[in-house]
Amino acid sequence: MRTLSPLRTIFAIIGIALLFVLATFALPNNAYQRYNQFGGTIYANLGWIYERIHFDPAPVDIAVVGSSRTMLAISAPKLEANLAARGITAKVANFSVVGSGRNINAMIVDELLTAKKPKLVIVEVDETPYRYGHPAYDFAAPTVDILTQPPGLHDQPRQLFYLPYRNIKLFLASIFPQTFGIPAQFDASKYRGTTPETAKSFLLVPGRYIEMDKQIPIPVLLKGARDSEKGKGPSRLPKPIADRYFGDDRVYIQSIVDAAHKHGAQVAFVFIPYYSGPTTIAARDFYAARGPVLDANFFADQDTQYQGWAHLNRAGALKMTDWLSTQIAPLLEAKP
Amino acid sequence: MLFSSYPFIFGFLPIALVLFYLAARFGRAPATATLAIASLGFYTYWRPDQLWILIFSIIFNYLLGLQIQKDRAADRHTRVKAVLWLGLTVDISLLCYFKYTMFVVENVNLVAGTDWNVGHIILPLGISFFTFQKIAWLIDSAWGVARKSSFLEFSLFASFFPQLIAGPIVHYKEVIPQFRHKLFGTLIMRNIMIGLVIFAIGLFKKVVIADSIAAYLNPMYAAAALDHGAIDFRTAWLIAVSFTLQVYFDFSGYSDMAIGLARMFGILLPLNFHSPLRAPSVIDYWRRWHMTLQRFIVSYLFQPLSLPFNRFVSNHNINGWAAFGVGIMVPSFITFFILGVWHGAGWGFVVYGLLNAMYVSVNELWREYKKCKRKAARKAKLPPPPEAGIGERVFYHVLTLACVFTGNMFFRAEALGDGVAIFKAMFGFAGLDLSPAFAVHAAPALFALLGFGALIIAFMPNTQQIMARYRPAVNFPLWRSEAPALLAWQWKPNAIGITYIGFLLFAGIVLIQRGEAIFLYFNF
Repeated sequence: MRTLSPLRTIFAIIGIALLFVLATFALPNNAYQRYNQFGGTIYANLGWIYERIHFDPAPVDIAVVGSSRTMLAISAPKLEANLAARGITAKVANFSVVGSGRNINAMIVDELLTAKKPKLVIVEVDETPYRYGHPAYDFAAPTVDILTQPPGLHDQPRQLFYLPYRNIKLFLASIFPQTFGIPAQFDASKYRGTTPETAKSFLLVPGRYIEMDKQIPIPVLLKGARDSEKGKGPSRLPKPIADRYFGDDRVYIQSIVDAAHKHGAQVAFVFIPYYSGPTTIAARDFYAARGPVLDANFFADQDTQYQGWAHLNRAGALKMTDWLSTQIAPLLEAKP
Repeated sequence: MLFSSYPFIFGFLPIALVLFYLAARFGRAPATATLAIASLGFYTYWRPDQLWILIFSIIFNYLLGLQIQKDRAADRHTRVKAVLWLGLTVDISLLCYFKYTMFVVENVNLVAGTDWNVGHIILPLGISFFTFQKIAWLIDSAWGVARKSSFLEFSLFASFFPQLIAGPIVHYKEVIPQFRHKLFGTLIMRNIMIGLVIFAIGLFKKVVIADSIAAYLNPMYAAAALDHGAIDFRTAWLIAVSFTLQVYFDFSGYSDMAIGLARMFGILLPLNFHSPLRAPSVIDYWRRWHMTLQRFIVSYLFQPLSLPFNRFVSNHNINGWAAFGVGIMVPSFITFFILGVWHGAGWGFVVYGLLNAMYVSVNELWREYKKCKRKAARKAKLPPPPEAGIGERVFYHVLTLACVFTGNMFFRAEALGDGVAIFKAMFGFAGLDLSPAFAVHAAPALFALLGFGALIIAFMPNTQQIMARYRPAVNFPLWRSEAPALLAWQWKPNAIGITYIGFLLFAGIVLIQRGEAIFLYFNF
């Protein structure tokens, strides 16, 4: 058998290893498992999201995507009821997931549009765009989405390094679901329902109970807010490329808007400030050019409405939902 | 920065290789200096606050070694001894301080009811290994084996990053001549190719096999440690077998990676493993397990110890089994006690050492008995006893493995009680009831992994046998014909060889993403 020179051998070994890596990109996996591998973690809600989209025949007329801020602040059943009181029949699904990262919002919207025809997609925006991707995206995103991201996003190298291992694991899990402890099939008995309430007290993960019916002393709220502000701020890049700093937000907001419009859905942006935080949205112009911005900045000084520096309590959530109903009703009335 | 981590594989290693071979274009000294600085940088990345210990150890031992060599050349033997003892005392004291102070104080408090507190002393990474290397340098200087070397050469010898943290423990005479060789810093692609192949095999052993076993073993062990009553004999054996395979693939994988990395820089290190789990006796097992440590222990501890004991035996006309006891067993027990304690401050390690001393002594007794039988047959002019048949040989292998499995339980035990509980369960002392815990832990994937590992151990050639065409280690010629594999195969840079290594490299690198697991021997 022919042998190669050392230099060619080195390149050939690395080339073969890369071919194996490429082969992992073609491994099939089970989308249900991609969303349902988070049992027992703070991202477990992704499992319900997939089930709601693909296994629940009820339509999704209004979808909310965002982080825990919108998850806890917008009550889907109350929003449905408020709209119904105004004569608007709409099924609301709060598809927010704990943690920041615009890419996962886009991923959920893409998944939603494969099976449902929403009329309105409400996207949470923050005072300052979040620079990075969502931690769960690396695990849950379709392979093609990770591979075809525009270059230069913050988490891209990490995602690309992780992808081969993830694909091997998901491929094996699709064959041996028990071994990997990832359910492969929908179990109706465990389904959380069409419109579960997210704005109430619940056990997020073992040992982490989210208490919604409480208020927090102002000094505690202020300390949390100030601690969270460390390291945040405007773009640190030179002006011509300043937008790259928040590249993830720009890219995936545009992706959400394009996908929604392609399927005839409107997009609105909602801002819920953290306690004592900025009442202006740094990237307002960017969002406003793509849809109405629903600005709930009046919450910023209402300490009684918060159960943590960033999260509204039950009273705050009900108030927020009432306010949101009045804001989105005209959008839905305008486009039945 | 573990060898099995992306910052090392895609960052440190390529940068170090490029800088080293660029520097080598300007001569051996710049190449040596570059590699020494890179090695110190590697250590600093781990523990910047403990770099001073390594640097102190290098400077102190270099100066003392030179002094010993000077005194020896001038026949000032008393001064040689004095300086040697000074060096040994400082080196061993430093090691003992970091490694055993907390253990000693804890036990004194326990026995005397005192409440002394020395705080938490962090063990400097690799101190057990680099201290032994320096001790060898001092003794070799006193014996006239080590000769004068420049501070630069010594610094690289004492800090060379592939073997700095967990060995192989190298001798001056193995490495420093290579720094001076005219081919040092040349044959770039050939060295990188050979090193890459050895590294890929080691990476696969560590990341794919050892870490996969650990993923099942750790929860199993934790549950056993939490509730000793839940360990039935099947679970105990499963833990014991899993741990032995894990530690073998972990440490031999690490050693392969170290040997491969060194080879990328054109340096040949000594072997550290030679298929020890295929050994037919405990004595042979210890010749082939952590070989550079055994070599150190035998040269600098067992032999100097057994000499006075054997002299005592002959001076006092002791013979028969008593001579065996004094001449072999006593030094064996002392040596293995120290070997056990070297691994760490804990009663589990003491028992591990003593248990192995017992195994080795019984093994020596058996050898002596067989020798006597042969002698008696010769004397009586009878045909010699028949060679061991296949059944007997299989029995030897099984017995050796059983000894290793049981001994290793004390090595793994975080508390002596855990080791004792598992040991008792292995032999049915905890009853033969079948606990449901076994069904919880006995995952089919674990059995598949153990079966895969066992097949590799039993039939496949080891790394150096696979790379036999390329002199993979400095002492490989001594081991070339030992323990041949049932399935002989040697790597060549052809389609099969390249695909095989390409796959191992791919699997090793990809599975790093499962989570970096520290090498077990980094704890020592």
